[in-house]
Amino acid sequence: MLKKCSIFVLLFVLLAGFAAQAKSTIGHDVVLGDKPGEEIAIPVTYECVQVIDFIQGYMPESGDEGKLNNPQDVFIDQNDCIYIADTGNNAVLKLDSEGNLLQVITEANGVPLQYPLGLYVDEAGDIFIADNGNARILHLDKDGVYIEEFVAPESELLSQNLATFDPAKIGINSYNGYIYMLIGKQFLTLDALNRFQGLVGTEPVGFDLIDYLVRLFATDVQKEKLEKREPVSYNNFCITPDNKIYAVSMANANQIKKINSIGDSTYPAGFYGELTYDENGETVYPFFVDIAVDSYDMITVADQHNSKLYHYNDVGELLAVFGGKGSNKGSFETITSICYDTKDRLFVLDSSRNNLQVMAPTAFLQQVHSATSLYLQGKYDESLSQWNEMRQLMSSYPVAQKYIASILYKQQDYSGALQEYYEIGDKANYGKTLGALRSIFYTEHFGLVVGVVLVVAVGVVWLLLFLHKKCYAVEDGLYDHGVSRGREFGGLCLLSFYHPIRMLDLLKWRRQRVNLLPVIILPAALIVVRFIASYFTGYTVSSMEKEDVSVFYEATMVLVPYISMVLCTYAVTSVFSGEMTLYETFAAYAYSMVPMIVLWPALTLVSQVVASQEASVFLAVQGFVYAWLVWNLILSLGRLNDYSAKKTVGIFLLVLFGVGVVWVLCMLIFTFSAQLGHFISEVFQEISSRFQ
Amino acid sequence: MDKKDPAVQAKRKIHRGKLIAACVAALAAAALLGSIVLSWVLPEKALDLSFADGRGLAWKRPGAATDTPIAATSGYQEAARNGHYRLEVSTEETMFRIVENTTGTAWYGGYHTDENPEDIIPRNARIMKNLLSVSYIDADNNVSSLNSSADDVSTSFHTMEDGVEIRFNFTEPAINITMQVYLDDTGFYARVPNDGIEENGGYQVAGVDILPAFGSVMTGTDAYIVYPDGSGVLFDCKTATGSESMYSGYVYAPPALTLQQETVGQEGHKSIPLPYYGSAGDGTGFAAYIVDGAEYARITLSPGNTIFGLNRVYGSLEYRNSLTVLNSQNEEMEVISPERADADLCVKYLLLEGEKADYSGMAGALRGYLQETGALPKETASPETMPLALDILMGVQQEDLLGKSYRHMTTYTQAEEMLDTLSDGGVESLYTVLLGWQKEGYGSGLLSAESAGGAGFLKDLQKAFQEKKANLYLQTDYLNAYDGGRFSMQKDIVYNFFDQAVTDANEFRFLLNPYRQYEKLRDKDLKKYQKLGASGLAFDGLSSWLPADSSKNRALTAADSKAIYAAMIDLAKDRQLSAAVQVGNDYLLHGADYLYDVYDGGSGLFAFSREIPFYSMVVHGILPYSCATPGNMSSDFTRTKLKWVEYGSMPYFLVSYQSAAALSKSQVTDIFSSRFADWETVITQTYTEFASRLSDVYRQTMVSHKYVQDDVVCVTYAEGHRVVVNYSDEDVTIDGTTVPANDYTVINP
Repeated sequence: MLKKCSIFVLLFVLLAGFAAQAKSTIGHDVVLGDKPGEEIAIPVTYECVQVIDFIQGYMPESGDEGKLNNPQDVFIDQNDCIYIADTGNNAVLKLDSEGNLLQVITEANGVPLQYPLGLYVDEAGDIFIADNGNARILHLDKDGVYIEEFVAPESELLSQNLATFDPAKIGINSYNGYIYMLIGKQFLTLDALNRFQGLVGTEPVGFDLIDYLVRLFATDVQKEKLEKREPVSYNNFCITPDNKIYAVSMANANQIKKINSIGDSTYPAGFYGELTYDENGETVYPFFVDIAVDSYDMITVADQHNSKLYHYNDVGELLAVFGGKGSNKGSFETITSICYDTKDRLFVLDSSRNNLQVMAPTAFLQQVHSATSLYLQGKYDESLSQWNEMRQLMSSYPVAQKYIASILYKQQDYSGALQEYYEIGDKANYGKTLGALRSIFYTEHFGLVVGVVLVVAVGVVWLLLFLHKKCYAVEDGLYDHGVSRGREFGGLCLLSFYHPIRMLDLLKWRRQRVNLLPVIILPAALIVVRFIASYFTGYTVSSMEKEDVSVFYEATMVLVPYISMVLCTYAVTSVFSGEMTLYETFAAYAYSMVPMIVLWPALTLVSQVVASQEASVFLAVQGFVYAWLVWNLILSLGRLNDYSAKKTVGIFLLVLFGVGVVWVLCMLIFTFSAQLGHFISEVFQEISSRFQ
Repeated sequence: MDKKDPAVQAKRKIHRGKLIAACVAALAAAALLGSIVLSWVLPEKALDLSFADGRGLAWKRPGAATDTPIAATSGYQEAARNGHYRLEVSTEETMFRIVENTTGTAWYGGYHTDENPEDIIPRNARIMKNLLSVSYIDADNNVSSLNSSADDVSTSFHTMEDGVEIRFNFTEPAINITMQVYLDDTGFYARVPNDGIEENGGYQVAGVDILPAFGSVMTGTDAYIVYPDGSGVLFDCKTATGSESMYSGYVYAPPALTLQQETVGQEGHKSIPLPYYGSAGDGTGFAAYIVDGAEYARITLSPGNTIFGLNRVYGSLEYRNSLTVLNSQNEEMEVISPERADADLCVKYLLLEGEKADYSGMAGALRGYLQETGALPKETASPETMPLALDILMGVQQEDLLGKSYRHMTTYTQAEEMLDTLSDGGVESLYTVLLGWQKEGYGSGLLSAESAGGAGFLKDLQKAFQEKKANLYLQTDYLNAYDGGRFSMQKDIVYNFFDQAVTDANEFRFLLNPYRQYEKLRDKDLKKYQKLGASGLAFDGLSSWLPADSSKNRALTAADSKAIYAAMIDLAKDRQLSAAVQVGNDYLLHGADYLYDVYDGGSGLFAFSREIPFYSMVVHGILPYSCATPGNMSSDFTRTKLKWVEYGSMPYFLVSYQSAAALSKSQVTDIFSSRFADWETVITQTYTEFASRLSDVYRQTMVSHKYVQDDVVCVTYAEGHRVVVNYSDEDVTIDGTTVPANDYTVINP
């Protein structure tokens, strides 16, 4: 299965860049699929409705009148006034909601602003500016009049880390009045009296075995030279009007944080954004430069590497990906900051284009927000109706399907939920729903279920005992040279299930007589059994999608190991004074498959009612069947060659190694011959097209 | 051994037989090998492009010019005159102007101002008076430019029929260029003939901008510039800030040198299907149309800056292209095409004044001109009743462990059921394009003409459509080839001048040689289509690229490709097949019966303030068309519907019987909602609404389009009907008629 998965991943990665878009004129956004590089088209979610790239009356005397210069932060207050840190011009601008200039701040307390990087405006309209170049945080009133400033706090805790006070981003928690700020790699707080109040959202660095070993054996001098392991630093953060703190970190996973009062993140852990690859094929992790939260608590993060915006809901599900690099409205060059206004319009600041684009949510996204909100409020009927409407618009929108399934589950429509979870491939919830459905069935048909289970159990036990009794008689009959090949095959199959050693002794005793039935029928039977099992195994424990099931695949999975094991065993035992003939090896290994052929259909039947909680037990039973097969192989090897137990194990490991080598060689040959074949087919194609 | 022994003789016979067989086999092998070698070595016969001759617009050709220059005088002197205009030249100022005989309105070759010339700084004066800009390449591949208004240019005016020929002799470098300006009834032509360009001293002409200051407008003036991005966009000179960036777009498509988006540099941009531009304001205006050389042309918007706010729009011809390639040290280097494009640049200027001097007037004038020159049919091809556009997705190719397989999204029987459902729902006229009907499936290149579901079913379906008088078009693609398809890398695909296959970064997509595809259509595919009983073909991609092939034996210029594509449409028409054309570049319009994927907006370029349905205004009432966004795949269906109304499009949906979720294993990534059952009610309701409310205007030409408010537009039709579209969330009242929010109203004359 692993091999198959890797083939799929490889195929998808290869094909991801080659998606055909014959109708390329259809505008759309995407969500990311489960496979690497997979994108699922969805309707457009945000549209650019305004571009602010010229501000009338701003710097009228300058040659660059009205233009921003390397702006680094945007903030929208509760009146929808827009504040921009125009860093390159050392100014902070206040605009009305239409982009008309209201105020320009270029100095405070007689000192010109120098490289302002961050902004915050509180409910009273007071403006806080991270005046990075002047190592201060300014507090101005709503008219821009200086009130106070905050400078580097004195604290022993900070003496080593806070060498320079260069605030980049700031925010105020109105509940406790603390100023939150990013200074270098530190995310920290000051109180209103300029006192350090602690670091925010610090994560433990964790245990690193390599680092531990290096430090264990390093000299003191070497240790001094080693880089100190530091917790992951933050890129940006925002504080919502209800004082929730959201932040984006530089980590390679769990990049989005929703930090609670004790500094822990309550946002689901996971990888956010998408991996990209540079021109050298190196993996590039997302660089989330800012985070913004709308009135529905939906989160948007901006990846500066690919200029895309990722829109998540409050539980970490990706709702949409939009933006991207480009030279037209709705695309970006270098995003530095994002912020929502009260109408949930997203403002995106671009420091390369020196503009601010206003992105309004489309009707589709508004409906997604509304349906999500209704769900969170527990209004499941209304939410379901909206999600169903959306599904009509967008049949393969995974978010809609997840919510529909969840609502159906909550409404105890387990059959409906089961179908939805199946369609979105959510095995865990499928199993959970199946468990609930099964409980209802048990409750309603308790007598019937108990009766059937009893009858089946008794029947199986009786059959096993009957066959066990029968196999002694069969064994005696097989020591007769005149027994037919068919009877011999049947008898050995039965013995291989109950008494594999006796079966092997018989096989040895009948060494002179070649019977091809087991060699043909048993592998064929295993292929059929596996094919049926792959197709019909209950979804909770199935390892393969139904549409991926193929006889070719199952035949490969049976015949390739079977034949390679036989050939390697024969080769190895020939060297190590083995007695097995080639036929015997084929036959013995074929008979080893009997338990699997018998038990696999039974497991397939049982899998239909396996819920999540029993999945591990089921997988353990499957593992037991595999172990039985391996045990039979080892027995065959030892018994037929008269090896000691120790030697048997050694030879078996050698055989496994040989199989590995053969497979590697075969793959190399396959690769080379495929290339040769490709070359020949291209030559043939070229010739044939010339004669057309 | 006895030679007469029958056994020996028999053996000999066998030996002889074997020998003969071996000789025959050897000869056959030698012949095969020889023919292969010969086919590679011997030059192929020259491509016969006679079928493509004489295509293009029937524009007025210039007469011959006299060698004697017009005598120098002060002020303007008349050089030519017709019933409407006179052409006057000023040898002193190196300028010309066209004057309307009755009104006396004058259009100057450059920017005209009443300001005292001494008050204008020389740099600005040169920009204002420039009639021609030339960019050239020196021996080190550096590009520089020359202006005709520079002091060191010697200029002479020569009379010719209806106009003058202006000869510019630049001194450093020594490049000579001729420009002809001559009148016709609706304006004038400006032309730079290729044989009038002389390159000397190793300098090579890279491009020419023609009349770069004609019709230019100063910032702050109540005027705008019309630019042909997508459906058409406006640059508002009144509100221009001086911070806008210059934008230069290729007509039709960038030169097909590579398909790497980052190299092309116009990713996500819509193309220019009609090479027009213009400006209007203060009661005068013009609409320019590139009638010759459009396949090598660019149209440039050059906004003014905060120092000199002159906003210009002009056409240019690129004689040489550059390409970035890697040298042996794996470093990027720029290479220039060795040959100068053998093309003339000719622009027709339609002069407008009074009420016609706006973008609606430009569209009307252009429509008339295109009809007069044969680019656009004179008679309407629109059906009697309001039609519905419906693309049906038949199948896709999907990847699985065993390779590629065809997956049906709609069977022919299901497509027939859809037709019946729509017919029962009241749909009277239908334009349907069958997508992915070939065995290669939707989204594959180099499509065969073989049906995936069996020829019989397709025949039945076409019969059903014919019985219901519905139009059915089979989608074709004669442009794209994808890696893994059955095509020859040597013969089928195009190569650039650096002998590189024209492909993308992954070497997945290639462009097909148009001549080879013309032959394929003529010699093979048309017979197959006819066998299938096809009534129409939908030509995808012919508006996307104009490939020029630099291969030794199949060399084609972009102009050849343009003529070949036009000829392909005619070929289909000759075989009684109706032709549908994607996007609708001007060279395809003459034979088109239906346009699909027509742009319903611009590219969202930062410089432009508004999108306008300029293209729609040109073709509405003449050719039936549908816009590019299917209603079932819009993020806001109401808005999309209003856009159809504003742009005069028929309602358009893309459907399949299966849900789009079934596409998950295919390479089709842009279809996300297509199940017919989900949309059939919306489709029939929308159609019924359009048929009942817009049937009066459907066959009329669009004579005016105006923004009444930011979110409210009024479209006026030839017979006086007005359609007011209200995109806002509040009701608006226009001339006493209330238009509900997010709705539209038809006001009868």
